[in-house]
Amino acid sequence: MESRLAKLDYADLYRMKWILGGLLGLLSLWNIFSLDLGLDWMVRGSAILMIAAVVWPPVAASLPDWFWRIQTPVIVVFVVSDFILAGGDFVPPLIRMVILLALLRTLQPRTRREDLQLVVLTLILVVVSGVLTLEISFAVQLALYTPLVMLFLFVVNLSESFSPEDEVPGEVWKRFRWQRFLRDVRGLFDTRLVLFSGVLFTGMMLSASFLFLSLPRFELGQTLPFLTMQARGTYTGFSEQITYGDIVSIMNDDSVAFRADVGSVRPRRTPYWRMLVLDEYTPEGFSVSESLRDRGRNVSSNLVAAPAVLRQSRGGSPWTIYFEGGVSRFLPFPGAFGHARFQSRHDVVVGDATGTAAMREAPGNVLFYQLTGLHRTDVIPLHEADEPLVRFMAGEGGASGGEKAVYPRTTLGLPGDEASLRVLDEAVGDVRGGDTEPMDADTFGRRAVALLQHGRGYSLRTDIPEGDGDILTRWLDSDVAGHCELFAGAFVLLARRAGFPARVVVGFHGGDWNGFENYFMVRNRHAHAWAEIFDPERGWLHFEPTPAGLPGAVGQPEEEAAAGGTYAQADRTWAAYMDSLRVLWYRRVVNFDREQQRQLISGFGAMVQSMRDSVEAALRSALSALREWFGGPWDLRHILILVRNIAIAVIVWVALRVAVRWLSGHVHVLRGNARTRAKAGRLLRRIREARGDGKNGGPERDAVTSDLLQIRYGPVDSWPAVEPVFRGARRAARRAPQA
Amino acid sequence: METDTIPAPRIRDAMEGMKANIARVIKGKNAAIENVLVCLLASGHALIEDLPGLGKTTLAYCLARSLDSGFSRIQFTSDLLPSDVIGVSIYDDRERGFTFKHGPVFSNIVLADEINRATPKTQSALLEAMDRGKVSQDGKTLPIGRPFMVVATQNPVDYESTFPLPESQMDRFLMRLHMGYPDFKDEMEILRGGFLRYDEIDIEPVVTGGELTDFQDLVPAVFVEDSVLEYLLRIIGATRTEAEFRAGASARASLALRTAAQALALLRGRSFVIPEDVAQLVLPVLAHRLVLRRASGDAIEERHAVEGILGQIVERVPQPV
Repeated sequence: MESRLAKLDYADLYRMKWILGGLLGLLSLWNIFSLDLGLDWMVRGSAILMIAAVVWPPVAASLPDWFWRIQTPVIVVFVVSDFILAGGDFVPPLIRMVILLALLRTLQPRTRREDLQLVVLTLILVVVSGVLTLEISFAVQLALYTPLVMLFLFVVNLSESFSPEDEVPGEVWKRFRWQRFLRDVRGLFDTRLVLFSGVLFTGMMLSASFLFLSLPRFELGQTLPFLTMQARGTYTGFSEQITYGDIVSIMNDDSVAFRADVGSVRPRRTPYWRMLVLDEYTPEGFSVSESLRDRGRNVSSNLVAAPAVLRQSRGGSPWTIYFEGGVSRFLPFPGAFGHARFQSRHDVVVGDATGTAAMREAPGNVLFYQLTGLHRTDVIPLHEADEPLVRFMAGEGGASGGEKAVYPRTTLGLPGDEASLRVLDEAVGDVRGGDTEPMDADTFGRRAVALLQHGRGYSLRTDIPEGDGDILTRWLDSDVAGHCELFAGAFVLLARRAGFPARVVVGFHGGDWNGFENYFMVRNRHAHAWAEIFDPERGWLHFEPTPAGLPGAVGQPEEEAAAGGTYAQADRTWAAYMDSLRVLWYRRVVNFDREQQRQLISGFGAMVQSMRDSVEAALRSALSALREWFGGPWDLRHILILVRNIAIAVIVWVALRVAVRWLSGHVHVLRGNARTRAKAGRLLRRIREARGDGKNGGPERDAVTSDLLQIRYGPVDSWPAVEPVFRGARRAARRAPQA
Repeated sequence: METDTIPAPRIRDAMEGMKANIARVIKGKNAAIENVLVCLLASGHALIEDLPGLGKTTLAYCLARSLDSGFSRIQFTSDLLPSDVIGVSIYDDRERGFTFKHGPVFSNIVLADEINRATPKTQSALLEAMDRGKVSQDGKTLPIGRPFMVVATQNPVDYESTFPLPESQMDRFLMRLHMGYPDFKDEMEILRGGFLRYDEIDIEPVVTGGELTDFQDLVPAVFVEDSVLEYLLRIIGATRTEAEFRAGASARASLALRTAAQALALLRGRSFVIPEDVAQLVLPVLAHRLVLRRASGDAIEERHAVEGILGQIVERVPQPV
């Protein structure tokens, strides 16, 4: 008995195998592009070669023999040198090696073993890139990869049934035409089977999604330490020792550092994302003093609480930060906060004195945290650590920030050389403007900002005059333009010289407002430095010494507030749309705590319950209406209505029956006669096989086989209603073994 | 032609009636009976080749009696002349001219007993009549009438003073059939029944000649799906590439196989042919048309060899699904 699949010869299967293998390879590279692997040319080249292997198989299949002979030594040399050159960082070269092997497997004529290797290699790529990036495309990739790999394995299995002497890979592509190949493949598919498996697969995906939603979440990337590779996005220069120009170099990078969900309403003023507070003056720049570092409180929890003073505030809705992996270990906060909640337990160093927090290491992939109790003021409230400063300001402490000073006295440190101090004194004099009265921090700050910005432009490139003394004072003494670090640093030195403790704060300012999903996309180019000055009454006051309205610079918060928050237009570009999908994914799937998850599931349960209730209520009301109607007085009109309704019901029923019968008799028209015949043939074979009939046995044992024979071999106009026959045949085939 | 107008079940019932009628006399030879009926339906002629005394003549006789039509028997001998078969023109004194005296071939079922004993000249006279359904005499063509079927018999063992039919003439027969020895049980039945002379065979006709011609006219309308035709042609093609045969089956053979399959489908109450119909008829329709490359001289042995090879071909050629 000839089966339809027997028409598939080894060459057909081999071609399908080849093309499916190429597609698998390509699909596995999908997410690799969003990883920072280095050697981009290799990944791109691999993708191009894979595309070539799929689109022009004959070309790829006719690679010369010497290519295959030299490939092993070349790969060994490449991989070994790659590992050596990468130093201790073994994940990127490992992935590069897997990509290379997968590429070779897609390009070479494969035996069964190599087919399976290809599956394993692509699976590694899919899983590793998915776990590292945690992008929404990972879900799409998996949804495509799974059926493709199943089909691939199915074809590999089928091709196994051919004897080895059939294997003539060189011959397979000789007369290959895409059109003919696609037509043949199309002929193989049974629409019903494809539909059925599609439905099954969709059902599986849906149930898997539900399970995914209902299972407790954990962060794979954090759980498997070897996977803490850097995702794309560069290491920024944020560190505890920032030399001049570091922030500027960060600003050259346009990639997103983090995204911030601040509720659907855009804040009226541009947020300053505080990451690091630099208290100690050094000639190279400001840094975090050792004493401040030692003050860090180690917390290992998923909930970080700020000092009690901050927790009292109950400001507004929580903000959620999606912090990209590899940006920094210092976390951005839009001011003082009450609580920071992470998805899982993390080791965090909390700087209570400065209102900052940092991870022990830069997170490998996206880190989610939620901030509650945010202070929407420009002031970081007083903390007990600031006590010495309060006393100092009251004239009790005396000592200024010397070499060995400890925090918070480090916030008074100044350059040691006379020239610098002289410049500073002059400038302080200018700020005071001859005013000998004691001045409060706020007033001094405003005047100092005005002085610094007077006649001075903003520029990322500065030519600070050579000379003695500190770089900041030399810049202050000149009138060259400067960037945020210089403005902030000079401001801090001025304040300190005038007797106000001051510190430099670095982080980000503002961000692009995503107009699609309403959140901030804060990019590395938004990196910024500003200053805080101490007021013994209120705490640390925020000051923005950098002039506004210039590229990379930012406006004064007050001005923006006055203008109704009309800073940069919302980003509604295509790239922003793609970015918003990612946040959607974060919001809906990745980033929710147990409570949200419970709500989601209980919401689902409530929906089912309410649907059941409403159906039940509808049935009840219909039943009672019916009862009432029958219970009513039986006059002629009543009877006529009853008769009319019964007649309508009968007509509808008969019409439905006729329609169903007609449809089932004409389904074959849609399907095409040849396909209907083929299907009848398959069913006939099934029945005969199930009954154990011989090759020519029992052609007309009953009505079902006789009808099937009629459909298979009879003239079309004599066919019985096709679908009922097929149904009967399927039943007969199932029952046959018991018969 | 509209195929759904074929009253296939009625034809099946009628032919089943004939089959049962004949089977009352010829015990245990259902396959042979069915094949003869297929020949009859397909307007073909049958050559029954077997040893004497196995019921060849009885089968032909019963067939004729089951049909409400004429029957004649010609015993072929070496001195039989063509005019003994087709008839002769004789001078009629009253008419004052020659009138044609119809020979025994002018009947509906003609039993040509031991056809290989006649001279080739006489054989060819019969075969021409078989082929055309007409007889040419004195420049006139005389139709034989319908239904017309020749059931020829020949003895494959006794070759003394015989003229074996040449291949070209074998080809005129739609089928070659064998009776074979009856089974033990069937022979017991025969013995119990006692020997009957032909005149004593009590068979009532179940189908009229007119009905049968109507049925015959419907045979070409039986539907043959393309895949079945391909299957048929693959079998024919396989005989042509088979090294054991001197030559493969002819185009007439493939037409014959198709027509026979159509008739069998009708006999089974179908208006379409299925591959099993074709497979079943390969041996009776093709075996007598094929000649082995290495002749052994023993007709029965050769027949078995040819049938064996054909059986292998049927096994080998995949049926459409």
